[in-house]
Amino acid sequence: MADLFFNGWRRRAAFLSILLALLVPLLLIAKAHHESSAYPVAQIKITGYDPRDLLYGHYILFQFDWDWAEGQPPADGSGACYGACCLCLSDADMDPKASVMTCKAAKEQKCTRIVKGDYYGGEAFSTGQNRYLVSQTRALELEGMLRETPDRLRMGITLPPSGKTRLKGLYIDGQPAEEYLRRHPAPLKPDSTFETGNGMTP
Amino acid sequence: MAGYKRKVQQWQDAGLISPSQTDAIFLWERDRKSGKFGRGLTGVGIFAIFVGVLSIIASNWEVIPAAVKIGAHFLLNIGAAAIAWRAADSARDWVREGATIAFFALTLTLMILIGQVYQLDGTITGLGLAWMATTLPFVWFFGQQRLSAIPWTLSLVFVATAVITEQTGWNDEFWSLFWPIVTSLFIPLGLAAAGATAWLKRVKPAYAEVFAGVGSVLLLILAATSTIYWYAERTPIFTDIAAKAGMSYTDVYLSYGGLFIVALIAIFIHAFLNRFYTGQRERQINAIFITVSIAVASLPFLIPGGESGVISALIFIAYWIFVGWIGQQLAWSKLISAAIVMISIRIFAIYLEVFGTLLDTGMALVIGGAVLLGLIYGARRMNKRLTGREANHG
Repeated sequence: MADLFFNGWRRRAAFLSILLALLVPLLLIAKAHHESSAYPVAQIKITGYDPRDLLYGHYILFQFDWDWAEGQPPADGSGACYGACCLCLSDADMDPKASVMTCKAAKEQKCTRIVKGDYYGGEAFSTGQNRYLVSQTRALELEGMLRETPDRLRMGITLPPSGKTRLKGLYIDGQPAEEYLRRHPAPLKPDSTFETGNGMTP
Repeated sequence: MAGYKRKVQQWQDAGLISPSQTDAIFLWERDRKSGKFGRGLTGVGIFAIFVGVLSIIASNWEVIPAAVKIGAHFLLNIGAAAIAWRAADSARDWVREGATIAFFALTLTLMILIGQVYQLDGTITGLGLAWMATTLPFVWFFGQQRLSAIPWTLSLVFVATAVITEQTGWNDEFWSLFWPIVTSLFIPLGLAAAGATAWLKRVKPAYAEVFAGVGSVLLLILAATSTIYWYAERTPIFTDIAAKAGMSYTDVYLSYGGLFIVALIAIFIHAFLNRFYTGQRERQINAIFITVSIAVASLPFLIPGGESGVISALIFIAYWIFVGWIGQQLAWSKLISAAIVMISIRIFAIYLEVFGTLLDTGMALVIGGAVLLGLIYGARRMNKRLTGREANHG
């Protein structure tokens, strides 16, 4: 097998094949980093939670609890849209007011903070983003927090002009969750989460 | 004494080979197998590292900042690539193979880590295709032997199945049976066909061999497990599927049965284009194996009568007798042993299935044993007749 790479073009091609497999993940990182940092971020209240998924780690399953603008969402559906729709958010960084409308109407109104998604009436407007991976060691705490004091938790979403939002991160009391969790280390005994009476059963 | 040693000793005792030839065979076998233990351990070690990295990523340990996680993982990838490169330069084959498959696996875990850190809501299709496409040139250049060929081929099967599953959606009852049939029929067939191409055999012999092997094993599993369908009442199931899908019973029957017919036609066309593999005995045997396996798998779909445990057991035993015959034709003793074990297990299952009165059990076992002997007698007669015909033509 010693002659595998030793002629000119094969050696260069083999080297390029390594570069390709290293560069593609780098480009993925660059793209994801750009999309999560180049646009304004709004923190939206969330509700709901989920059990653990052994294969993928621990996800919080949530849904956005939009802070609707006055008269929104329209009770009779008039003026709103159905199916693929947009939300126009106010300028507030935390709990911006949301109005549902067609994406065309959002553009006409020169809305600068657009969220694309699906709307089928009521208060549920879905962007399709409903799970957030959290640390395995802190999942139970976050679960308890989301159930008992949901007002403390918000999900940050980036707001690109295209309306295709990306999850920026979980916030606890307005701080990024990672920072909060580092400042508040996990209880020494893993079982103490159950003893604090958060209602969880192992 | 190991199996081959006993065999070689028997040949020497029978005067077929000389003592010096015996020694030469032992020496050659010892040299050939000297790296097997090391290769096996390398494979196990890399698999353990892969599962370990995957678990660490899945735990999403908050103590390590995201940039450090990605940076450390990236260094691991560079390290694996560097080892593969250096091992290729210094002709250390199995180090290169190990590093190749490690880099291949680490590229997947790096992509998963990126998705986790940036909370990307991608699909398995996107991830699987990006992974395979990104690493294909690397595996092409650095992967040369079975150590990398086996995990790569299994990954290919997994990604292809996942893509079909995700893209087609199996939530509807009609499609939830249609797509598994497509997947379990055409992925093994595709692998077997790819493994048989002269070009792949020339440029990547180990990969061609593994493709053909994995394709055959998947078809073997398909045919053997399809006998379970004989227990299900297929006519009412097809009627129910037709009603829910708004189709006629005939359409459902033809859709499922048609897939097997298409597969059999594809095999025929392949054989026809290759002049029925004239002069290539092994390929002929392989084609017979593939055809019979698909035919056996198709039977419960093409003959949707009531449930029958007896037919299921008979077809299962007949199929494994056929597999044993294939083993005999290819002089593959492990396959023959596997066939005997499977037939024994099935006969034992009859004992459990008919666990009623001793009379029922006894009758079932006597009938099972008699059928087995009858099938073996028939197979031997057929074999003799075929051998005689071959000798006459030869």
